[in-house]
Amino acid sequence: MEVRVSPTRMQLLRTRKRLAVAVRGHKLLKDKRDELMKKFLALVRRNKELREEVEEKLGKAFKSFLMARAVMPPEVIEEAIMYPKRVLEFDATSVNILSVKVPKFSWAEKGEAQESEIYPYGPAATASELDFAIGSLAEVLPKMIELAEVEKSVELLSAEIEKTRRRVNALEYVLIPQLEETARYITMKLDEMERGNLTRLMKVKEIVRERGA
Amino acid sequence: MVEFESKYAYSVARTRVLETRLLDWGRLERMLDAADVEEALKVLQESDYSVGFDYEAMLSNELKRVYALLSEMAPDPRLVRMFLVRYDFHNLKVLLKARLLWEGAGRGGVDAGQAPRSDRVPKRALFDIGSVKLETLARAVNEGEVRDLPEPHRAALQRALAAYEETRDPVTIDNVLDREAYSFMCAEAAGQGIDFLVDYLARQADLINIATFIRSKQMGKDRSSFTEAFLPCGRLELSKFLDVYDRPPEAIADEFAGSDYAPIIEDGLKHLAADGSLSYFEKARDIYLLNYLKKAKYVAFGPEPLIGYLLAKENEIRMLRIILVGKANGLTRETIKERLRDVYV
Repeated sequence: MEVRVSPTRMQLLRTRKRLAVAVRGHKLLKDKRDELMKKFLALVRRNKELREEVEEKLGKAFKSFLMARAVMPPEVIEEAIMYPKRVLEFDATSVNILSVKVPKFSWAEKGEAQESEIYPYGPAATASELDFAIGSLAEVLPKMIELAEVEKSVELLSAEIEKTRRRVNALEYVLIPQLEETARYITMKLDEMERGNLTRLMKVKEIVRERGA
Repeated sequence: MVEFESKYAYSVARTRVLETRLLDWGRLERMLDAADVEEALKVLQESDYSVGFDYEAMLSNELKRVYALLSEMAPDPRLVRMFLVRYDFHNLKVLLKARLLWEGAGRGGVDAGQAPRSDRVPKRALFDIGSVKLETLARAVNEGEVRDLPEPHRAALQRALAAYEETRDPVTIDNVLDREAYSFMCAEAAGQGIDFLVDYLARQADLINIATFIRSKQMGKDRSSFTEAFLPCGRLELSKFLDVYDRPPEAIADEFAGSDYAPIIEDGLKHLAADGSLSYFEKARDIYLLNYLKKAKYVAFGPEPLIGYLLAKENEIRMLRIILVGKANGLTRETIKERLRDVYV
């Protein structure tokens, strides 16, 4: 690789300093990558569990909803669920995982919540299948919120891992070898100059001695 | 009495013809065998239905058409009107909920957003049939302009609002208006001297109350919410239900073992225990009511055949919806068939 530096002692010192920093940075970044990886894998596992659970439950909920839709006129369903009974307060903050900001969702219900209070309609005009659909949807909601949180974290972490890995690789395979190469080049050049100087001196000494004889 | 019955001669004769055009099992079976919605809809050609691309629109158009036809045929406009009132009450629920939802937004309740007034009411939730114009209902609910509103509606609206003020619970609106609709229907049926309908409504109310009982228990609701949802004009008294409210749902079978509904309750509970679903009971209930309705076919003169035809048509639309929704969503033939009720013919 072409090295474009002036082969001076000053430059050599500078290069060596840079190399030392690069090596330390490389080690740190590698540690960060490993740690991120560990966190990432744990999150991915949780994500998989949650997703499977949510998908299964949502599937069931949608199926009951479909059945409810089949046995009730659309107007009645719309009316039944147009005025939700429970009010959810939702708050999104972020937490720091190894300098990656991942979302943290918190939610709470306004007013006193009761298990039986999720159904916002009267029973006379509605079919029982709607109860199941609403019930299972209510059950799956907290899981869905958690899933959203975990899935976004996984996404952000994976981007960060990707970035860190690229940096580690750049340091390991590009910058560090390059700096080492530069240092070697300068050393060699300096040595060469040293040798040239030495020979020259020897030659001069020889000439001086011949004249003096 | 002779006069009462003979004035029905014309409309009964016409109903007899209309009855023959109701869909029979053969036609429904063919729809079940169809590969998709389009094919299922094809079966409906050469029927009363004006087959279109949108089957929900088709079904609601048919409902409108039937009501228009029967209003024209019936010798007494009150007869069809009392059935239409059910749709008015439904629309009242929608309008009322929309208004309260909107007002609640300002009070820190559910946020309805800054939608303009006309968009606040979900159009899809409104039936476009009824005995009172939708604008009249909307004016009454939104502006308190009740001058054009018939008395039963006015009273029901006031009661629903008063009850809501107390509980601040949207379920109250449903419950009060459902109760009002039933009381109105029963009073009206009794007032017009149609024992057949009084009896039918009583049975329907009973069966709905039984379903409500089981559902309330499943949802973990308490006695007072059950009491609130309890429909009037049934023969089974509220106190009987409340007697067994703290016992497991099976207790209701013993409580009403002597009643007409014992087999339905027992069957329904069996399926409930098997898969936790009440839909079998609801199906059995609809079949039972339809069978009761079938008696109307053998009445020579009187309002019964008209009522029978009207409710049979509503049942038919319900069945078509089950088939078409099922077909549109790729449900299997068995799953759809399991949910089908029965036909009137």
